[in-house]
Amino acid sequence: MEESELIDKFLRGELDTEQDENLTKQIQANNELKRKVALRKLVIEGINLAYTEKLKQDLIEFDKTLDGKNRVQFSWKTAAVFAFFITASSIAYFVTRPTDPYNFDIAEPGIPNSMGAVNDIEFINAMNEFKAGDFVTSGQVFKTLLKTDHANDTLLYFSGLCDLRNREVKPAIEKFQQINVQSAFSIKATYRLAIAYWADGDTKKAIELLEKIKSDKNNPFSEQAEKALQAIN
Amino acid sequence: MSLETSAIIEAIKAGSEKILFQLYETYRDEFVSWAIRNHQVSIEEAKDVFQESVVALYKNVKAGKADTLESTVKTYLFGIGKNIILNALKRKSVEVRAYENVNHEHDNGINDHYDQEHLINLVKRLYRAMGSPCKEILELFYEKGYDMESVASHIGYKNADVAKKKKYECLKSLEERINMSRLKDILN
Repeated sequence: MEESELIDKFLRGELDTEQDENLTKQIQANNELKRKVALRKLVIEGINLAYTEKLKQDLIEFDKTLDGKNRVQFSWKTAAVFAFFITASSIAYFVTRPTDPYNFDIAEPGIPNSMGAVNDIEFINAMNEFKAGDFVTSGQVFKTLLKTDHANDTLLYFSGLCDLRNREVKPAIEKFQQINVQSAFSIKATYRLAIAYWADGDTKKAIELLEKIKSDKNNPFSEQAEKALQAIN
Repeated sequence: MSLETSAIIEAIKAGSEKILFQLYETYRDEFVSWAIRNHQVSIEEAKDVFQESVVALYKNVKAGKADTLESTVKTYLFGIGKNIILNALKRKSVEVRAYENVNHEHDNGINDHYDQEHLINLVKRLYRAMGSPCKEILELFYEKGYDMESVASHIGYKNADVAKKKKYECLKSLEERINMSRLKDILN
């Protein structure tokens, strides 16, 4: 049996007792084999971590779809508790907190790896992290890459977006401001810039930009801008 | 173990994600209501805990820790959720105490744990950066426990040998990248 396959069977518990004992002895005596088994274990743990993180993310997305669905029937007690809780928390929420600008964030699926303006494994890895919802890790990489390619609109946009999602509004504003109108990211960046101004407390600038977006009926975020304006006002 | 419980455990073992989402949908609201009532957490915190509980159920089933489950899956899930909440509360108070008594002594155990965690995260990143069909093949084999015949039919390969060869290439490429990255890490 080939060594790689043997290691897999060993780790999956698919060897018979004799084979298992033999391999255990070999691993103890052979450092190279021991290293290979450790590396394979690491691979399995890494795949498991990637999978469970994806599962958690999928559950979060699934959760968002549940509230609109007709689901499990509840007893009147449960319903009463929920009704009370929802009413009480809604009142508390609206009394104590203004509308959150982040509720007006728009989806960003990321770009296919082949479209990356920076042909670099680091960018591809960061884009994958971004798509997986890890804006801290991906944001750090985009920021580092920007240091050597500071006018790159792809990096400016995604680095700014990570900042915004990590609630670091000032650097997000600086980056979105640098994206010029010819850029493919210009329309999205302008809308996000308005939201970032709003999140930063500069409602005057936010309203100015949102009004512009709203009045341009060809702008895909025109409706979204209108809703945001209603919330600000 | 009841028939229902064992059927659920078997389905998870066989790699069914659907059953996890069904469990989530069936018990989410009850759990949220229970957690708010008994542990004074917010709705969002309770949902987060329940999502973690479903992930933990998956991990425990895969690790064989739920093989002799006597309770129902619902009781088990709620038990995991309760532990997560209690541990979080305990951790909060420990963190406050630890912050108050900062100890600068080196703890090799913690460093080793950190190194291992760092390595697993590195593998996760490199694996995520892999293209298709390597990601699917490795997930089906290592995560979902498929045999090579099932991997082949799932991906659309002619037979198990083709899938086996491809899996070997994918694995080799991933292990080479890990070795290179680890070297880069050490040099940095």
